[in-house]
Amino acid sequence: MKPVLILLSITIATFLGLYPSISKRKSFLWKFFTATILTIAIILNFLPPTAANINEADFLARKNHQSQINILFTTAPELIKYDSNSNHWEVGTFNDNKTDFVFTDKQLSNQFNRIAEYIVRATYIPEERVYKITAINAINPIFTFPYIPGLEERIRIMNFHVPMAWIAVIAFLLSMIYAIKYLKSKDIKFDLYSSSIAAIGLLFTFLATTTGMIWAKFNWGSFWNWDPREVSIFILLLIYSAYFGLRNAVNNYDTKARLSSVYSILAFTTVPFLVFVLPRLQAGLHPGSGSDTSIGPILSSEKGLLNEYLLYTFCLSLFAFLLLFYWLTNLSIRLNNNQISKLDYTRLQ
Amino acid sequence: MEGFFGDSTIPPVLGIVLLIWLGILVYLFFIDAKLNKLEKRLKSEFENQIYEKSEGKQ
Repeated sequence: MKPVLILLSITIATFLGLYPSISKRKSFLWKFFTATILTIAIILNFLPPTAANINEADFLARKNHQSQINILFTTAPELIKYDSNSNHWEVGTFNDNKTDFVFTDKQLSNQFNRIAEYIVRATYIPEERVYKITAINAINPIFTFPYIPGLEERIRIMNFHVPMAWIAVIAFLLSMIYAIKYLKSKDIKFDLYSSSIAAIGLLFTFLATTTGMIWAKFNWGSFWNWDPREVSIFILLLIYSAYFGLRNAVNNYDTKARLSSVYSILAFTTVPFLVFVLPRLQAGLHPGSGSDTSIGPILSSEKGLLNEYLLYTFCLSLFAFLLLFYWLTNLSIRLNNNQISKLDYTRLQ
Repeated sequence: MEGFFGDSTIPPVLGIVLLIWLGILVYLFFIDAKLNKLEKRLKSEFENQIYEKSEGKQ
């Protein structure tokens, strides 16, 4: 299910992006569709609350987890009982669990007024072996993100950071394909496609690095930790920055196109090694690194590593950001094409 | 369905992200329209140039 959905998102977005042509102006309907899908993806990545289910809460309680977490359970007004001795309300749930929930705020008892799914904000009190509810976050939520200790609300950034890194790899692959096409045909338009795609690929590499840095700051304490994956993406940034250095250093267009096409092919040979091999060999902070037991939540076939809602939103984000990538590429190609046309025009004059 | 916003910090973050996204969208549509105009202008200028050249030869 997981690989099918991911491959389907990439294939459909690529088909939409390359059809009828990567360089022709996109129709208004295409642009409107892309804008709408991206807006929906952004909203669905931010709106739903994160929540642990009751078994996860049990597990956290056993681990004496004492920070505030969001817990999802089903309850009814009949299951809320006031205990005058301890002066608090006890909350019974429909789930067969060992965790007890209590609250002291009278106003909360009015909010548990019907049979529903509630997401409560609660803190575990080890002395009393109960979760103390401080607020009700949501009632009958449509979707919830999984609660992952250590990640909490930051889990949402996964749907921005990972698609951007993947799109950068797709971009560099496409750039290499067009570079080969140029070397075979010597048609200048393929060089134009190759360089424009590499530029947008570099932009997405930069975005993946930036979103990763923000995530790292709040998860690992600093923006840059010299983790193997951080090092490899930094090398990738340098390699593709050098590609543009090379292009700008040569004045003759044919030499520039020939040299940069060969460079693009050589540069892409490093991508699988830097993205898929090196970070998995070395021990590191990223999921899927050498010290991790799995190859990461997205690629792993292990069940339960990726919650269903997270998988759907991830695929939607991948699809939406790929469409944005093709739109940006289209604009970049047309812009560069016009610059070449302008040169031809001045040459004619 | 009530209280869809799970965390009180999420709505402002979503608001800022949507505002930035709206700005990017407006810019993209603007660039697209500008490019379209430029393409049309260059095309007609190029055609005129070729026409004038062929006229000159005759």
